[in-house]
Amino acid sequence: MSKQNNDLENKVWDLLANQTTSRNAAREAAKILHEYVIPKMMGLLVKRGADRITAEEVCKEAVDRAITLIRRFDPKKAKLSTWMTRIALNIFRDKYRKHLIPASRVESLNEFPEQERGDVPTSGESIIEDDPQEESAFIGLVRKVFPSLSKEEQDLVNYFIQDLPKEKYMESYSISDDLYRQRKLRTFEKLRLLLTPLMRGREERSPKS
Amino acid sequence: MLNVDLSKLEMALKDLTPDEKFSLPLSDNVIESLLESVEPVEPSANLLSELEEIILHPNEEQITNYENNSLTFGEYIEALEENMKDLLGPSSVREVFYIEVSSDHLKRIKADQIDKVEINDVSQTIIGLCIPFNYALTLLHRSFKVIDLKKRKLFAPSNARTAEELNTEARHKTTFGSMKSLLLSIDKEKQITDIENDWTNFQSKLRKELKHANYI
Repeated sequence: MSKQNNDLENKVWDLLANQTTSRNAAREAAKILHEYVIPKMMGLLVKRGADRITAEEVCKEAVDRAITLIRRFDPKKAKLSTWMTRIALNIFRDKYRKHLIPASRVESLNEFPEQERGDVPTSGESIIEDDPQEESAFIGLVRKVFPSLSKEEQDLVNYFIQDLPKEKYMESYSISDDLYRQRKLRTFEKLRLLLTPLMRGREERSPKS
Repeated sequence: MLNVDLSKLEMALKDLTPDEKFSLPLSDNVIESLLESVEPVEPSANLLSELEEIILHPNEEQITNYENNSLTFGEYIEALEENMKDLLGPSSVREVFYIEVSSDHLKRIKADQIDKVEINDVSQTIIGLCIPFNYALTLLHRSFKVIDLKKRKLFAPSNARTAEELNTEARHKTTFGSMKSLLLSIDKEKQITDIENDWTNFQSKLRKELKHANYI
């Protein structure tokens, strides 16, 4: 994100944190969010499976919740847009799992039978905790071993899963292509070693047909 | 499959469902990269004005006046109630919970969760909010004291269990009768600083009453 966008985000944060009393200031903050932040958030929610109407509703709720939680936000740790997006993703997850979103409003997710879906909170910001749905065996095991990976390794796996260009990861960690390849090999090997005994255990526990 | 094949592992990770792709904890780095790479979706024009309303704190002017002591607590609640009219929804599944409030508390209560505000019949400092039971519990988790006068139970983190154990009608009558008279003794026309002083006195009296009724 450009310096200009960072400045705009800081301006919005300042207005939200100080509970602006001015309508003009509120309008300005809304305009910045509407123009620069919400479109990307909505894009990500659509990628996550939401339709446009749901994505917009979730973003609106995320802004509302962000205002309530604004004192928890630390601009030194994250960008406002990142923090709001995390809240939005959590809201969407909670709504989806609580069946608060009509089936017709969740596009791609409905292609999959319920027992194949799984989810976990992505941060401590989630307000609503609910009962996890039955998850697929594979993602369940990956989730189990995931905390054993370092942050760099976790990010690498997530960049891979999300189809993000490896250059973004390399830039984020300031590493060369060679180093990336080594790290990727090491990470997946580690993941494989962590998963193997768990999968073996599952197979041994499964009744033989 | 007793051993996980590396290429199969990669394939399995690529084949996750859209929901599963977001099921692993995402760091800020990943979210930022996702935001940068994603195709923006243009929000509706209506959203702009809705965001403006969300950002502009409800009753901001009244709160400012209230904090500057130019509004009484009662006037403030009236203003709050007025502002909520547009947000009211069906109240069939909701109950009135009485919530111990301060000015700070009021700002933290989500207006869209509230159907109705009741105040005059009980007190100036314990207001009745018609809210879903779950939201009352959420408030309780956030250290609000939620009092359900209909069921005559006092929900509070420190004494909820005791209240349940001692749920006898006589005790409730004594306690809430005393509470109500204490609350009504607070002058509705006083400015907030005075009310806050009264509130401190009230709390200490209430504590005595509750102790007397074996609540605490």
